[in-house]
Amino acid sequence: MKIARVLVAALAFVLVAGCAKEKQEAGSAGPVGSDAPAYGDAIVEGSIGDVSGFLSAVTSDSPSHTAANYVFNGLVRYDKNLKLEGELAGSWEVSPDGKRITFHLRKGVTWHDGAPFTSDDVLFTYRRMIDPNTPTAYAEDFKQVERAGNPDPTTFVVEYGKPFAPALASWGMHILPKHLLAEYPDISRSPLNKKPVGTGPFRFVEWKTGEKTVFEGNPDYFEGRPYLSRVVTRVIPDPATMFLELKSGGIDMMGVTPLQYTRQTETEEFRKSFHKYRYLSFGYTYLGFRLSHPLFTDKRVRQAFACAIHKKEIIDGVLFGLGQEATGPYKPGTWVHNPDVKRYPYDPQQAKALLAEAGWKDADGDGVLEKEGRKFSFTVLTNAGNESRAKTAAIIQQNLAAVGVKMEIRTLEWAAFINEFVDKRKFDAVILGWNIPQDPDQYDIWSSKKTGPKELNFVGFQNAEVDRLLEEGRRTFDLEKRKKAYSRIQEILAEEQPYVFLYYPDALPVVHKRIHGIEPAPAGISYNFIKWYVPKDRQRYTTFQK
Amino acid sequence: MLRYIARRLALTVPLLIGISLISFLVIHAAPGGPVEMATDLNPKVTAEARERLRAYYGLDQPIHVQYVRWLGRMATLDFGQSFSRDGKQVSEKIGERIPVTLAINVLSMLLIFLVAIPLGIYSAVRKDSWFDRISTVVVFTGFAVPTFWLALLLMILFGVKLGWLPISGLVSLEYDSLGLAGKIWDRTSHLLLPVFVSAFGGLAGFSRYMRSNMLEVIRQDYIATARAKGLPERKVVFRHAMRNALLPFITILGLSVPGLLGGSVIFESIFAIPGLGQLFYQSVMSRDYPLIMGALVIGAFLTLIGNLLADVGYALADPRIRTE
Amino acid sequence: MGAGTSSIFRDFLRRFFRNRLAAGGGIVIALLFVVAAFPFLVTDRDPNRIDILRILAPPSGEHPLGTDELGRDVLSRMVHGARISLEVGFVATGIATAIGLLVGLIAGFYGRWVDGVLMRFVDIMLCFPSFFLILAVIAFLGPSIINIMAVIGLTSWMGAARLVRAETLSLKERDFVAAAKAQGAGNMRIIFRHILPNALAPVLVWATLGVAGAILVESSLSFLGIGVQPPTPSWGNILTAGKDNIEFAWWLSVYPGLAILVTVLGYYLLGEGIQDAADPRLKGR
Repeated sequence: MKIARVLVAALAFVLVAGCAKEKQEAGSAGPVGSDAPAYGDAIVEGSIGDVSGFLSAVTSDSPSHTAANYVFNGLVRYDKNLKLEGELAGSWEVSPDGKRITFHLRKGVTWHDGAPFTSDDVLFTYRRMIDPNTPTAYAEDFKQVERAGNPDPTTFVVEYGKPFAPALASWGMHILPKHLLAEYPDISRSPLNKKPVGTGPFRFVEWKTGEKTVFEGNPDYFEGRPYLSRVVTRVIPDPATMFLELKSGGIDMMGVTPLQYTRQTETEEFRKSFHKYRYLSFGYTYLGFRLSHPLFTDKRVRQAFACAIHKKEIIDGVLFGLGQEATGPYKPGTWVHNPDVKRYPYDPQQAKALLAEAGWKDADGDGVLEKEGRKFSFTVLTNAGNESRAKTAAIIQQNLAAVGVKMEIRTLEWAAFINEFVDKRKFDAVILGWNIPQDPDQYDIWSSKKTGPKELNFVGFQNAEVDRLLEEGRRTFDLEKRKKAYSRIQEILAEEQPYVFLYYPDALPVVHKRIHGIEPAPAGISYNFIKWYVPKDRQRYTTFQK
Repeated sequence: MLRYIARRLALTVPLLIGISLISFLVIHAAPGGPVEMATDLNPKVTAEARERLRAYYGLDQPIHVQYVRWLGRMATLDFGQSFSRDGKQVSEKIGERIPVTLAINVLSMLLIFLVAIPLGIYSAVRKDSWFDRISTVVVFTGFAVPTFWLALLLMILFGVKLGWLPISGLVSLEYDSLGLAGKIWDRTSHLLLPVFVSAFGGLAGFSRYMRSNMLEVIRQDYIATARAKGLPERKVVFRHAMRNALLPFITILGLSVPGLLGGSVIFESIFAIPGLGQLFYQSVMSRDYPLIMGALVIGAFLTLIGNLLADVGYALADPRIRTE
Repeated sequence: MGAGTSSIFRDFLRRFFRNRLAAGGGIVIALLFVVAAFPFLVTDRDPNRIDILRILAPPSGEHPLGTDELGRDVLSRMVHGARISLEVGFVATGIATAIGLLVGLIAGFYGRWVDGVLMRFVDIMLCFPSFFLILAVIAFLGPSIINIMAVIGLTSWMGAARLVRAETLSLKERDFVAAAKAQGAGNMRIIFRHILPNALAPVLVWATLGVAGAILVESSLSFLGIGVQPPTPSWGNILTAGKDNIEFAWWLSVYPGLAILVTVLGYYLLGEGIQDAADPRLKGR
């Protein structure tokens, strides 16, 4: 039939044309040349979600913040060892009473459109952060400021009502260009949110919504031009597809799951083309109890849970060993972490003993504990779409069943979870995670003043000593004093177990081997992104050289 | 015939109102709101900041006020501003995504058309033969297989193992530097798998429908007459049977629009295609009310247009209606 | 066709079993029912038992279909998942059939403006990409099994309604209806005792296909994370769990995928077979 013949011909054409196009080998075994740093090439990253805007003050999702980091700078940032160092600020002083910080800004920095960067921009940024027209979630720290001023173009002075230790870190906020934003009362509606102009190492090229964002190296960057010519982030919503793209060379870098890390990236073929990195990430996962819930008011019950839950099983089964057991809300290896707090080794017998002490017995032999006629049964909530949390919940369910506690699991979609259950305190227990910010102040999570609806101390933790220590910790710049306060807080938290702290997961980035210059450090691998390069003879994307 | 078309057009108005009402009701089944998505669980947010955001998004009006305002704007195809961070107009956001989704759906309908018709005809003409049986099974496999599963398998085969086709996306990164032929091939190769996956599922329904139509038609008297007149079988099949079996086929092609749109949610996600299906899914997850409503209405609207076109095509093709 | 006499039924069965594809479909479905109802016939392993030492183990004597990402036995999960998937399919289709029957009977029987309004409503519902609606409602109300069944049912009744209406329209002109009316039967009685049983046949065929479709919708919802929630097993969520490991732990994808394929295929062939066998005009060539 004629139609059939036409179809076959078309198919043949398509196949021939396709084979004719050479698919460049993703730089695996190339000619051995110099490995010296060279300018050029591009790095392609994969991201599950798309950017929602480039001004990080008015966005709160991680793809947007990652993108904004290429384009903007803050006054300060964290170096490879997680110490604060200057970015747009060359240096700073904190006054002896701790209430005033004077930043000395770098000279000769320019915005991507050529205009000079001055302290006017910093003052402007501060004013916008506290401006009610700005839909930002990060105004809180800036509201502690009493007075801010810029005596000259390279000096910025800010005064706080009381000494406020997290203040320094808060000035890592991206600085905005006054000359481009002054006419917009709401910066989220300005064109800059879609076409950003910053001072950072990369300039914005394009944003195809839902598809990709493209940045190019800024030759005038004050720390020197980055080696990579282009940074492209492709939006790939499905993780299975993303992994396939990684393997076929469609993307150069992605964070893989523990499963992929241990089982699917160990083939010789894979290791020939990719570097795998592993470092403790900045977050922890926990099981949080609603402390006002009759089942959980007794500390012994919470401690029993800590004994009943087999954390090692979770770390081995969910994380494949790529993580560490958590004992508190601070990351091991950081200056504030207290390793000497009370621990709860896996001990189901001890758990049963504690539960019995608290009055829970299995009188009718059905395997579930009772007390005063009430069975020990509750529901744990966690958010959908997070495979690790779902698996963790399943393991905990099994662990608890072994000591006579019945736990139901309910996964909820994020928006509903937060609005309907967490914010309204309609939950028994949750499995969630927190990011661990660099500054140790965790006032919002543990202070008894932060237990109101929609506030972050949603488990309802109230401890007068912790309240006092939280104040102490944030009101001094003296590291020793802060460390003492936070160490004691960790001791109390370990004793009280408002959460069962579960684990700190590892971050598992995988990067294509042609990209050199990566040096893992406590801060991870991206801190020196501008120093990553591809040697001349292994460059893959050569069509957009500048 | 103009009267026929005019009548059909008039019918669409109550349909549109019904559509707007249903979509409005659907989204108000939702607990939660967009404000929380933006600021939840971030240690730096206060209640005050959240309230500010809530008023800013206009969620404090009573429901009927919200609906009436929305209905008025819908008449002018203004679905308002999206709740998401970029605050773009809903119509703009949907407009950006429609071309891609439409293109893929049109192409896949074309593919279905090209394959289902001959398949259906041949199966009817050779009913119960090996061809009929095997094609039944093959075609239903397409229906019975979960889309994402098939997509991943094909991606692995053609993308990773054989390296013939790209895995996801619409164009390669080097697109801008390709010549015209290169550009054409680039777009085509990116579309091959998604169109195929999208069409494969629809093949079953259509080819079976074509088959049963043909079977009906073949048994008609006029076919027996044509055969009795001594016409060659080929002419009987093509000239007489097929044309008549084709007519209802056009109608159900129009009816397939909602199915294809719905299916696009899955395969756009797997193939990383920034289309309407993906947009809708994200807007549901982030409770972007204006966008959800806009997408539902526009989806329904596209179906209406599809049906209208199909009906007009039918009217044109069916001489009985043409001469009305 | 009047109420079936036993010889017509026997004819039907004869025609049905002559069609080997349809018979095959029927056998597959029957087997499925047996397994779903009596899982212990196949395996007595606990589908929820986590074994982290055997995560993603390939098929072996101990685990004939391998294990999943938490070391749970895939065969056992598939068997228990069969029941869930079937449940979802049946209840959802049951709801859709009930609504479709109601709407179709009333529209067809009363005609005129009732018919007009109801059919407009059907048209409106048909305009919506039903998966969009399902997605939105499940996302808002939560992916409990009940919600999933209800929503799928509430968005797929339109086809049945149209079928029933068409049947009703032709049936109500028939002699036996006139006879019933002459005997003084009320409308409700006529509808439910006379028309309904005869309108059932095409609807049943439609319903078999509906069950198959519901299973597929559940697997799509699982892919998006809002299907039956783990640890409760369903074929859709086992398949979804497997998709991220599709190359490496092929058993986690292949078996549920095949199961869905075979089941849906079985339902389709069954439905088509019933249709072909019930329609004497298409007999042979």
